[in-house]
Amino acid sequence: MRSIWDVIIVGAGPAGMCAAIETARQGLHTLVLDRQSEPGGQIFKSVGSSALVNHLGSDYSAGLPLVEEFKNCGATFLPSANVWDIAPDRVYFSAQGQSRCMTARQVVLATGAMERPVPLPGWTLPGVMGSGASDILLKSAALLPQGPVVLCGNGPLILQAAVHMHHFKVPVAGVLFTGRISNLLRAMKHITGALARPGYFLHGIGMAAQTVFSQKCTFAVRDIRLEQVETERLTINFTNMSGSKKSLQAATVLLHEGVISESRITRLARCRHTWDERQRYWHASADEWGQTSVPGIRTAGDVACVRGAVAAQAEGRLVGLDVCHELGRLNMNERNRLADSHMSIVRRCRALQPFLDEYFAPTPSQLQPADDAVVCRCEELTAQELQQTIRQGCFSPDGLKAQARPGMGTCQGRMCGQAVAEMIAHTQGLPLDQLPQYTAQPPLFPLSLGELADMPMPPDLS
Amino acid sequence: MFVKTTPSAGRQVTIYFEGQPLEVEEGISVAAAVLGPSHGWTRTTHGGHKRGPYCQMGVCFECLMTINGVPNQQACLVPVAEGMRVNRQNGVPDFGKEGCNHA
Amino acid sequence: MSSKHTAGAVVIGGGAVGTAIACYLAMDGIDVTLVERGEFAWGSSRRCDGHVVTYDTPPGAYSQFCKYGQDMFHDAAKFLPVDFEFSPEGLGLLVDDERDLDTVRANYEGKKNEGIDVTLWDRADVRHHEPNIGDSILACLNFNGDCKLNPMRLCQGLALHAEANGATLMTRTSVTGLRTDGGRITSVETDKGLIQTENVILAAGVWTPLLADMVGLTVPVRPRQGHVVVTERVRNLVGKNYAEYGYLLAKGGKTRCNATPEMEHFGVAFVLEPSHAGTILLGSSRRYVGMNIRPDPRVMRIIAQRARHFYPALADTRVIRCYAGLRPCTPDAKPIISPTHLQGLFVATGHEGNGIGLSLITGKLISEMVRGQAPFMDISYMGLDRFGSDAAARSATTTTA
Repeated sequence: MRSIWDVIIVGAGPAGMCAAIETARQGLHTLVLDRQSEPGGQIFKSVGSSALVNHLGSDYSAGLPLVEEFKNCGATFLPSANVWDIAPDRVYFSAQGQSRCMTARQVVLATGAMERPVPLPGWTLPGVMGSGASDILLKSAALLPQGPVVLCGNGPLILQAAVHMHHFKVPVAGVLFTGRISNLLRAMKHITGALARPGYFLHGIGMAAQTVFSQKCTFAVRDIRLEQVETERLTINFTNMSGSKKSLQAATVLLHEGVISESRITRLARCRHTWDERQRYWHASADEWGQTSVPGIRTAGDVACVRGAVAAQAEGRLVGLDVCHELGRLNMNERNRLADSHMSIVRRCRALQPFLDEYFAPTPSQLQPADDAVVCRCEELTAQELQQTIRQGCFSPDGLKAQARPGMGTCQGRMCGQAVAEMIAHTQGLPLDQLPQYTAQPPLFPLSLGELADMPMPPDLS
Repeated sequence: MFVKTTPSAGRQVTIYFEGQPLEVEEGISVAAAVLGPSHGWTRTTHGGHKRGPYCQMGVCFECLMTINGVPNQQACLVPVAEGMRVNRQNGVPDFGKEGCNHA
Repeated sequence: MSSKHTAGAVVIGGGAVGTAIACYLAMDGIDVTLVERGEFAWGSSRRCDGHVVTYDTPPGAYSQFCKYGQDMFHDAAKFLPVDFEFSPEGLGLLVDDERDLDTVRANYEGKKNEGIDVTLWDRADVRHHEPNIGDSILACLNFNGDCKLNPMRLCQGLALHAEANGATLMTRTSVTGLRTDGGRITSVETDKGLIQTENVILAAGVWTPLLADMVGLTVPVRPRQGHVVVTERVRNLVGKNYAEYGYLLAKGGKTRCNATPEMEHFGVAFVLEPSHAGTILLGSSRRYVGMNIRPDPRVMRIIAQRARHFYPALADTRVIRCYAGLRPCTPDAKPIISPTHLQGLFVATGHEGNGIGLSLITGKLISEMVRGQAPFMDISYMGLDRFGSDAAARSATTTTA
């Protein structure tokens, strides 16, 4: 396989596939790397092989023609490849137990988002998972939770999960919403933006209505605690709006508190990041062509700002077109002409976003973990232990990491980083936009020391 | 705890979970394949606590299992293959004299 | 930004050296203020390993200095309010080349004569203690008193103990100027106000030259980058700390008889520390790349190769993270613990790879200097004036790879 590429795209979800289609079309040597064994990312997970491709709605099946187009576009696709370091001119990755370094003239990061991890007492128990996980199991393996299921949280994937559970007749013991009632009022200020995407907006209202009418919903819950009664039986304790303590029993608990950029890769690239006040996460700053503060490194899709699959595809196309322009395959007029329709899609998606962000805004008190909640799952550190160290004098996630080890485990802070920032902000009275996430260092994903030792280096980069 | 919605249409392969044979659909992840038989827990932490997959997409690192003798593999990212040996990752890998290839 | 306060002494720099100085000054009754622009251990003290060692100095006065510094940690482990995971488990220098055996034996005799607790293992002994050791290891020179600790917790402990003894801790505070009058230091300007003081100690590691420049002083310290590669937690892989015998040569910039060109280029020499948490810290590298602390996969790869040579079992562990730090390095590789031409201004830096281990002894000595006492050990060879005129000093602060 060649080791010198025109463009290397990390991530074969909607954004990555669309960028690759544009660059490959213009004859650029395009390499696409993805950790999964098939293209599609999370939203189109296994769409090429899923037994349920026609049973999960058009949002999912729309991925099939895209995946087909991607597979035939002439880009080289390397599945099951873990990118573990990047620079503007190169990518280091591990595939089939071997690491390699490949050079590129442009690098595109399209590695998407993750569910916001919100520590709760008992969230580490077997049987508790993100609602996105349940969605992935459904798409990729046609698996459903046995039930009873409790859904808990605030965000689009809770509604998605509730609709799937209803469709497949999975018993749901309850849907507990943690969002504030006032979110809707705040969101209504941005209602005109919703008119930019009326179809999508109505679809969302439909899902919300279906959930409310078909499931036992409780609103504005707090103080959620999960306990294991016995294998595959969990108790969900919570306090409702009027202050009463309630509980539910379930075999599976699905948690969801919104979708945020998985920004470790853009932080590793040392891109400049912006703080999103409504949705409370950091994401890389990029222009309309995906160019970040680091020349040669671009972003497309949810990795730089979570706006969903339609926006991700349009952004992917724009990034691909501008890469073609940058590398001399399209002049500016050609680029602009081809970009026009994608630009208008992006504009419409951006117009709707404030409404969604406000409606699904996380509840700040929900983000302050209870004392006995395990905040750093990898290092098994509770909120109480971490607060003790914070009070000794820690003023940033990196500061706390150095003293108490959160973020030093295998996940390298993906699951605890933002929760740690929320705790420090609260205890030390600091604004969140002054608390950068943990410094990201290579490797982005673990690789064996032997593999690192055996990695061949291109001669000019030794 | 997780059941199939539809009977498997694809080719079946045999993997071994904790030494027991398991018929699973080709192409699914190890994490999906063992979800039922494992009762949801795929490893114990260094502190001895049972954990199972949380995200199914490779960011939570809870689905770490020993696959074909190699510890700490993210089971949600590994597709099943004929004859694959899958074991729970108990605590941290032990490098006692024989090395770590024991499964 | 107009608050004003006074202090008996201001220490600039909150790493191991700065916090130790603040701690000893406070214990000795001086009203000390510690100023750090980040949080504790913000610079090199969080980007190193935790070794506190005597193996990496040839026999002589400096070696005895390091030994005294090491011994001080046993007491500190008792009186500091934070458990800094101090473990005097020893360190072994692994020999993999016959050509080194003579100098190893000479080193052994020399260190033994200095009263350092050393033992020598032959090939069979090494295998008995370390079943996972590589085949080519011929011998091991053990420094049984060498230790490891957690440098970040050490800094926190020193800072909190200083505070308990009356020190004022000003973190997230940047120094913007130093004021002098008639040949003596008078105050420190910070972004949180002015601190009037008669004593200022520059203990800012590789940033010390920038501070010294504020009063026209040249401190010849260059940043020498190192890497640490961290594995996942493992059990029963290795019994204690190790380094390769060639580390001494790599540190001194001398060639080793069995190093590859890449090892020499990146200054890679094997160092291993099984951390308190159960991960394994692997190093090391040495090169001059300015203030760059972005880990380089090309260096990580060579560290991995060298580590595998000594411990083949490491090949099967997973690397989960890596970091790089800057060692403050002087032209003769010895620290600067010294007064300056300005009355009341002292410099404490340049510990090149031994900052953690020499922090306490530096603290004790600086406290003596500030209080006008003769230092309890002769450290005239660590004076700033040994670098003579500005010319020699200026050449050392350029940044070339």
